[in-house]
Amino acid sequence: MKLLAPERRIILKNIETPNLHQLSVYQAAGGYQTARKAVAMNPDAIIEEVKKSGIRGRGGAGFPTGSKWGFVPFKTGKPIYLLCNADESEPGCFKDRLLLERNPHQLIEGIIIASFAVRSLKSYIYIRGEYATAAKVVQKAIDEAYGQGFLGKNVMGSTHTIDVVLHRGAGAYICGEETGLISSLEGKKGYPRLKPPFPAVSGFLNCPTVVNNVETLSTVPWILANGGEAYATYGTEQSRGTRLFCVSGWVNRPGVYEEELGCTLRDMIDGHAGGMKEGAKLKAVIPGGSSTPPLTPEEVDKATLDFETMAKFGTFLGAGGIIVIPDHFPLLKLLERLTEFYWDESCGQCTPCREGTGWLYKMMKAIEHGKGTAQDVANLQKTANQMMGVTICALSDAAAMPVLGFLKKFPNEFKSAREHT
Amino acid sequence: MSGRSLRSRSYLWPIFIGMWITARHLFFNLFHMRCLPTIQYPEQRRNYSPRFRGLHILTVKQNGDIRCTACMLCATACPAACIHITADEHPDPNVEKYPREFNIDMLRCVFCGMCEEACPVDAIRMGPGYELAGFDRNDFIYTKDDLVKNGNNTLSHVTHH
Amino acid sequence: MKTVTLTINGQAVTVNEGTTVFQAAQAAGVFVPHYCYHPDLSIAGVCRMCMVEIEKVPRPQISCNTVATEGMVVRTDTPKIKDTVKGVLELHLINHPLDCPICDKAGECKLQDFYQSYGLYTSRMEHEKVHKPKVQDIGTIVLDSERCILCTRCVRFTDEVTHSNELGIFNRGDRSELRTYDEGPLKNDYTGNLADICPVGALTAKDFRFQQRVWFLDKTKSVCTMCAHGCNTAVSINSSTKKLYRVEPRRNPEVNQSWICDTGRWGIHSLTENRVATPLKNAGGFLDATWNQAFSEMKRAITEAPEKTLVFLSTAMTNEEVVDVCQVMFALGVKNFSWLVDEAVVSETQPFDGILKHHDLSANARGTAEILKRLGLTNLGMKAGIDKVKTQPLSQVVAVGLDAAQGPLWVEVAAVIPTTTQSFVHATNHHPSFEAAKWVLPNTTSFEKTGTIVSALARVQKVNRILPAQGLARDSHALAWGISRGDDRSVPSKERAKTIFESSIQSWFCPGEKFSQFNEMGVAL
Repeated sequence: MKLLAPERRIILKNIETPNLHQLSVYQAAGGYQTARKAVAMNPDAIIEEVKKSGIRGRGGAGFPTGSKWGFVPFKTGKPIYLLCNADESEPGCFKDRLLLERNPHQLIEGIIIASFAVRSLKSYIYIRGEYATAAKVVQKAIDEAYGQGFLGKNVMGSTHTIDVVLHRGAGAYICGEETGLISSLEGKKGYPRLKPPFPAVSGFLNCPTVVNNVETLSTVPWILANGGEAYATYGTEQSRGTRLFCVSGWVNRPGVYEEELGCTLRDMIDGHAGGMKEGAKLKAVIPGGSSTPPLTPEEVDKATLDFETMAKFGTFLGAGGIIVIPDHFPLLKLLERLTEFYWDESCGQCTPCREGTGWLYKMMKAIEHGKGTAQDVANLQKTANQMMGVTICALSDAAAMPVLGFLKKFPNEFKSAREHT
Repeated sequence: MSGRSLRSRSYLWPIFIGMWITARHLFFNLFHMRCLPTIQYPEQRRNYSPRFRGLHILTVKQNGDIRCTACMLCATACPAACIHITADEHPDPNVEKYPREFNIDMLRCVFCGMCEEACPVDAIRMGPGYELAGFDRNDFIYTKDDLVKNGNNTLSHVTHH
Repeated sequence: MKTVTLTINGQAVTVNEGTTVFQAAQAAGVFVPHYCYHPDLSIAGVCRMCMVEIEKVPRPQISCNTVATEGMVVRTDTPKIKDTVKGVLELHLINHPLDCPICDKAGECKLQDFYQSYGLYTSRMEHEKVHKPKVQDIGTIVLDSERCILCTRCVRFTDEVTHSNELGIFNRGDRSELRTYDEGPLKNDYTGNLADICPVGALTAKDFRFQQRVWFLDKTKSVCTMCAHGCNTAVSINSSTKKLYRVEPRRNPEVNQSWICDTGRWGIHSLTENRVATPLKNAGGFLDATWNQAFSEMKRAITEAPEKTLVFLSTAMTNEEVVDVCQVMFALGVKNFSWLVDEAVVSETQPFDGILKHHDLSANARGTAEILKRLGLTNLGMKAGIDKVKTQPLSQVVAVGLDAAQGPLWVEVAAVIPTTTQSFVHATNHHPSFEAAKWVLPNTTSFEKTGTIVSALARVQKVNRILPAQGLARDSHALAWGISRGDDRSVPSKERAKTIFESSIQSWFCPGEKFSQFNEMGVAL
């Protein structure tokens, strides 16, 4: 078993330091040194450094962050916005919450660096409405940073201006999708937008916009302090660095663990999370949050946590929400709950998602309550397929993928429904 | 004159033969009343097949309202263009549309049954009635009430809505 | 402008740069099914029906938001696309109430159309459907949320065209529902268009609701004559009863895009109802008379005192009618002509609301003025003409071609009638102010005549005859012809219109155009 040693941690480096959310404590641990260094650098050099690190977005889609920053057209004359996506709503994910509540200054430092790199003068942190404590902590941290001159006009003595505004969402899952977030932030209904145009060209208020996850931005100070090459030594060829995994479910020590990409799923469950609770047998693992197809116990034994291996097993690393399901748990109940979640959270804009999520839920409800028929199971499969890849955002796919995953990998669960006519 | 016999010339013989045939039938029928092909209409009536396409019936719903939704499909299907419907807003918003007027011009109707085929809600049927008489052309224009009466308030098969 | 060439279903098509694949397909004559796309509204991309397969792109893409690029290879006819479209269509329909028998849209509903061409599956939906409010009164329109497929065309229309923003989508997911804000009624002058652009039966016009099944209707292309804008229309009548049922906009990007105002759409009732049925002679009260009597009296009156006669030319007349009337009157010696128009607003060339509506209610003011100039006749002007009658240099008035669309102007004309010795009014509808007129003659409406008009946008467009003349109504061609001969041996008006068009209007206004095949989109003057 090879686990990441605490001293090699990147994002959770000082997380155990008491009162880290206070500016003085954060500074005592070396905070804001990198930001100070960054504002004296050439912005392009920062982007170059991030590109070198190979870090991919930690929000779920896994788009290379350096490239994203590189796409921003700097010379349109329009203001550029940096939005921090703190609308962590994927069931099974709670890593951003830890960062926001325990180490907000690391995020703010990341925002300062990123803003400077993409020439943004104003940033918004779009925080999930339910994260009341986190919102309070982050707001306090922002105020402290303003007080010290780290934010506002002439950041850290430079000529640069960086304003950060905390915006609380109203509790919609879809506002965590980057264009949905932009719509919501503009004061509109949180409808995801058609692409093209991409946010990098025309996003918030039709201006070039970069949207980054909390974890991504929190990693940036370390990358700049230690260099992109140092970061790239972590992880695998395709999946560089470390990331946070949220282990929940039937394990002894559920929680957020930082681990190198490419570590085995078994190490994560048996090592960090302390194994199955009460010695229960493993039935399935959802590896990346509720929208990702599950893994069977055989696959769990072989799986490593990186983008390419997950793709091989037909699933995704997503936002790193590992949900461990024990043998005694009814999978159908879980799937019914998931379809209900997506039915409830679909924004209703695209027809396949609006109608499909509702239908999936109705069928799963019937199946779970023993009223399902073979026809329902067949329809479940067909409808989920009809919903794949035909909508503006990925919510439709997110709703359909677990259904297809469970149907494919756990066909026995549907046996009684199949026999019912 | 020559060439014709007295029997022929007297005309009596053929009359006698004719009377004989008549009398034969009379007595046969008198003793075989069951075989009589005629019936005592209107006291007696023939039984027609249930598929007989007679005078149209408009069916009703449980609450007694007319079943027809004024969709005009019968009027569209009618090859004789004899169905005239005027649709209107029903006072009950759950019903929405109903025929304010529903007239069938029986003199134009060819009793083909296309209206019955076209109806999506079993509102119009070809009934068993066949007595179609009148003193005036207007008598042959059957209104909504006449058509409901034709069917003696027949209930519709369709129960939803 | 730079162009790009792409292939759609194996057919090469060259389009301007920036054109979407959807528009390119249209240009190539390839139909792509769609609900939310509308040529005069922004792209929503929510119905997901216009899926196409693009080479080197793994997933089907919506064509309405994909820009065509050089060398793109697009297919709309592969089994994969057919399957995808069928799947999306099925999801559109699973919660649809399927109340086609009582739905006014049936027959022109895109759900029905696409089910026939792309669906034809057996329903798999066995669960309770989602129910939403039906028959909601939102002013001139009835809203049925259950039938709504949330394509947002109507929302975008009130947002982008009328800027009145009454409509919105409330709630989310399959509870999403179209509603007006504050549950209030629609408050714009273009509400009828909502029923047109709704691809399903969610928004139906109260005016047309339950009046007629659309498959009984025949559409004829024409032009609206209710104001100076000259919106292009398609007018539907029942071909067997010859009854007018509705007026819809006909798309013309140069004039009215895809819209018409509610006045033009529903004003038809005032035009078709309460008409003058027969020539009426005033003998202490109006009595039915014949055209023969009217013509002979008119001819006599005009020939006796042509210098004392003023001819008011209604600006609702077609160009050909104006030429006809002017030529006949001039031949009889009349020299005083005046148009009938609201002179305060006639010079406005642009709609006052920035969309389509004009203050000027005359359909052909520009044409009338231009023709008088071309014929070398002086247009006295309406005010000056009325003054001349009041102060008595003129004592006879002939008002030709009055149309109910110009109703407000009638009162001014009628006010001078009592000061005349005798006056002849040729009007579509009767009006109390005509009481002192000697003769009131039935005129045809714009639905009952054929001819060209010139709109405020200086566009020559053709009005087409849709209905037979009501009662004994006759158009101004028949009037002019009758007056010139003094009896009612009439000529076919259409022939006369055609002759006049070919002899003068064509060369003046629209060289190269043919009367019988006039450009549907009209031509610039």
